[in-house]
Amino acid sequence: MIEIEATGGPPAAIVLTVVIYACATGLSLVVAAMAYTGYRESGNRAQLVLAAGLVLLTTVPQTLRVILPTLTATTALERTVLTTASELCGLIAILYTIHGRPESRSRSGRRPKARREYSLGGLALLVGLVALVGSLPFGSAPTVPDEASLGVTALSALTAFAGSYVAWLAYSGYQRNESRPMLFLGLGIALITAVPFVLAYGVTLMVAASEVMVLLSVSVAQFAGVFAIYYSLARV
Amino acid sequence: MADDGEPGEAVLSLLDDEYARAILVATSHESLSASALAETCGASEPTIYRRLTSLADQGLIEEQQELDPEGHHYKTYTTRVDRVTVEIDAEGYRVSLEPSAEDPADRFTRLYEGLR
Repeated sequence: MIEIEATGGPPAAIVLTVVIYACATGLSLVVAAMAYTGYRESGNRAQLVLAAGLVLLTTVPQTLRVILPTLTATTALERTVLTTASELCGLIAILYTIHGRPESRSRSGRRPKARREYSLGGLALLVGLVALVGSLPFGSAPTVPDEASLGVTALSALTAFAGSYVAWLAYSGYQRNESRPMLFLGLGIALITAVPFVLAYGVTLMVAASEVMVLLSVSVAQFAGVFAIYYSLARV
Repeated sequence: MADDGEPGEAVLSLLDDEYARAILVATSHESLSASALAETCGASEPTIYRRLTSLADQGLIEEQQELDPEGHHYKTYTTRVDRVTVEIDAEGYRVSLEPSAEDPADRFTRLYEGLR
């Protein structure tokens, strides 16, 4: 079924990692359904982009983590690029709803202008995604693995950085507005983006943890992150 | 921000009111409570509350929940518009609002709570 390329750990830890990822994927699908329902109820463009951002941040990477190793012959590096790129696009979408102006407050027939701005933002996102996927070393095995993994590290670092910023924004939203959902949203985004990066790159440097234990701890962080976002969307 | 009826007309008649204008000016640079506004604008609190309701209905101001030192909730109000434009041509007139910049964290919170 699901293969995890790792050596040097107890088989129970591998099974546990697979089970945790399966649970996280199931929960991330619930998050997608809730985000879509939330958008349908509000009917606002900003909420649509925000919901899409949440799906790209949770549902798409979690589903890819389960589907790709099961159905395709992708390498672990390629899978990391795809899941991280999806997370980064999700974060960009969320940042666009915060700093861009996808909703129009105009009282007159100014909607087309807002729609144009919105399309431009969407186009920029799409181009970014295509460029990221296009840069993937598909087909042939990377001839210079060090260079490829350096690129992945840079992509992961960028995602962790953007995730930390969005998590911090959510936390200050919680502080300023006493909005508990924002506390859990911030926690979830940090657990999905920043914590796995620290676990995968930072902890490995300091502690001689086996690959399996790092994978297990990352899966626990991912699951906790998806759960925190689910909790923030449910009535807290 | 619904575009129902003649919202432009509602905005214009609201701006004709002396207290509504005073509220917009007073909360344009800081968030104020209704009692602080009553003092600043020299009006009774019921008058201020009536104007606040109309201003919020038109999206000209926004309310926030605050906690006082004793732990009681109270509301403060902030102006959400920088500019109101009236354009006139043969087809009629259009009123458009230019929203003022909102704190990113507040905007994030408002949008996310709208999704729940």
